[in-house]
Amino acid sequence: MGINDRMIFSTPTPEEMYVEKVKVEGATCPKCGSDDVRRYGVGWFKGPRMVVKCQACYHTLEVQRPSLEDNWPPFRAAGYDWDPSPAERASKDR
Amino acid sequence: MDSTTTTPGAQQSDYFMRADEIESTYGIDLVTAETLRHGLIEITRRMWGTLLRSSFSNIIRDAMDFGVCVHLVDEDGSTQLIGITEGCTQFAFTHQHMTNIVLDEWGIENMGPGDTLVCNDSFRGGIHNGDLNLFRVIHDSDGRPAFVVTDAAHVFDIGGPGAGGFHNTATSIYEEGLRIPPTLITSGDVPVRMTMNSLLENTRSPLHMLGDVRALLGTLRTGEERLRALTDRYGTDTVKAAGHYALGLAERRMRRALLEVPDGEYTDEVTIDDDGVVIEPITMRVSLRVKGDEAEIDFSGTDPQSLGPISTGWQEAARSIIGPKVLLDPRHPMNAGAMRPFQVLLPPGSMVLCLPPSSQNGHPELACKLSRMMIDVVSKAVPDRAVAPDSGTSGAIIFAGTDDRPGLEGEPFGASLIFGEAWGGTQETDGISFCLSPLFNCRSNIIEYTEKAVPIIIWELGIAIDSAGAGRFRGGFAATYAFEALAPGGFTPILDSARFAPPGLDGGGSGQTTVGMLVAPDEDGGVQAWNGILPGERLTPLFGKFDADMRPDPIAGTWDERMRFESTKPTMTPLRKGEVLRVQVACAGGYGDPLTREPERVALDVANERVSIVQARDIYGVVVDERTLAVDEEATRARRAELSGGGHGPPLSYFRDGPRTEAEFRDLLLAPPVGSAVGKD
Repeated sequence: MGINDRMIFSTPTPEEMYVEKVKVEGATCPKCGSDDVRRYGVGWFKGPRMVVKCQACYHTLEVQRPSLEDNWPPFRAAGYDWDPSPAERASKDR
Repeated sequence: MDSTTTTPGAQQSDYFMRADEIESTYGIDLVTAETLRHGLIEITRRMWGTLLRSSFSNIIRDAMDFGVCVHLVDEDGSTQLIGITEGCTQFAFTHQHMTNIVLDEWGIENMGPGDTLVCNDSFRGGIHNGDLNLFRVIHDSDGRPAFVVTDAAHVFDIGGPGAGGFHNTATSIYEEGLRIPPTLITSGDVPVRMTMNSLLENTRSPLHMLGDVRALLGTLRTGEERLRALTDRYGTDTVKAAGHYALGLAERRMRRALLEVPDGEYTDEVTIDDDGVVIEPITMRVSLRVKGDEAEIDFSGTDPQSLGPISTGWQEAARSIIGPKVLLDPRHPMNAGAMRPFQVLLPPGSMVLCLPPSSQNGHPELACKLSRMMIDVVSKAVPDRAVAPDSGTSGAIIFAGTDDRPGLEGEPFGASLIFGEAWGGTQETDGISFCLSPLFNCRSNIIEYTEKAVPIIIWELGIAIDSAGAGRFRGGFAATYAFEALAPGGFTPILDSARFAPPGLDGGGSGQTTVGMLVAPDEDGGVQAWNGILPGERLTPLFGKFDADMRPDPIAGTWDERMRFESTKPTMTPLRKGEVLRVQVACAGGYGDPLTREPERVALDVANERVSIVQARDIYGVVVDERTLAVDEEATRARRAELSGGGHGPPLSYFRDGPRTEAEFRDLLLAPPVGSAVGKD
């Protein structure tokens, strides 16, 4: 993934916007038995998270930290995974 | 103990915890838990006082556009907000997210004692780049991160084309001013020179910036001192246990309140006038799905992000919970526990999750509308607590420039003039007047302070008669204000609700729309209004709907080529010395049919010159004697019967048939006031 892909986006074109919910194949809801279980990004109280959630009864099967591939939220700093410089840890390492 | 406001049918024990439950769950006794729960909030009160007394910008020390918070650190390094006090409400939501986002990116393990981070980025959970957000980690005796104290404040200027941090016609974040990713501003309690210099060299007023930054840093030290006083006395583990208790209690109360909401999906939408660049209405939509003690807030169906700067980049993931908080558990102190039952869905590329490099500089107008929409949608879920729509605009004006008065030549000045919008009527009472959106809840400017800090004279601050939405319980009145520039400057309105009037609820009427104008001073060189009314011939319309005689007319008025602007959102328009700018902020909607309002309440509004004799008769169907203020009961019955005939429906905003000429205005001023015969018989 290029550096621009998380920092600069083109203008979206759809007239109305929807959250994409990806079906989790083979998963069933332990609460209601539905197989309509989907994974998508949400704002949760600890910030951006991915949820695996039953669409029939809205039971949350799992809350996950988003991976880089999830692009959630869309923006991510270029240096997110870089090591901190000594200057940034100066008082920690003193 | 906090308020015991509960839902009918619920048991008090559902909302509170028993002593044995607290002990078994958190390992501390009830008295210690409650003492420390309040102690954590008390820390933020001390921080509040420090920041209020030591900041330089008027928007911080007068308008209280700031937040101060205490968080605890969990085992995985994430944080939870456990204490916050009065200030700008939205920080109670956003700082929970922003603290996690910023410390996740920086790495909380990289923070040492006396380190402070600063960040203003709205793609990292900030609200807009005018807000500086500071983060200071507090370590336990073993050097592990235990707590975080944070504060945020709207500094007066952060550079960019528009003074005051607002650029209403920006189309990218590069046009907003300084963007600060997480950056060390103190290292081991020593200011980092390059960060300080960067801030001071990118603002129009280094004096204000330095004063505000020192105030923010001092506020965090106050927070740390008070927190250490608690941990020294009770121990870190006990204080953290009490923090978890506070979170658990807030969560429990919110979940219990959600259980009282019927399961189902509730929907709502709201329209923004325009984005300041493309003059077209913008619609936001929400679905609130309640299932048991959890809820999903889904903004799918919302319009794509705007070209102009009013879409937002993450804020609504947190701020949208204002609706449930205000209506379901309003009195319990806010903390992250109350946010746990909610998941928020934000379509990428939409108004509520714009993509970089979109500008978010005009976020307040989206925020006001979103806050209104969230209260509207929760009102549908709990109709017995419903609140009619509020003004839906912050109603503010930024005025800034360089002073040229003798002795002050060359001094930069700037102020955010915030005098209040209005809240809608409810089933029990009239809407609140002169009060900002529940999401902001900043304090109105103090006139004397403002006139001292900025070269202006405030000629008018009041209400416009008949402007609130009529109803069984009418909407509140927003501010109508006029100020004269004593030095040349530029103004940037933070306004909306000029095309679409705030609607009423359940048969209530709409409030007046927003209008802006220049006013020619009267023969004495001042501006004297009568209950918010001026002669049309003295007004030069800037934006909003006016009639053929230049009188504000929210119903039949037009917004045409006579107005200087197509939108309420120009940026830094010059205001010459001696010019008078005047704004009537949109008023709130009424609740319930105005024909069912108690006649005595109408008569009281007439006596207080909030409602005219004419509006009382034509909208409320109440006939009031102009001299004695007595209600003519027989005539009122007849009038109400007449009005409730065919075609009766919620009234539109009311058009006040005001004076056109100076002579007509003088007649109005000299006319005997209503109630002139009261007490004389």
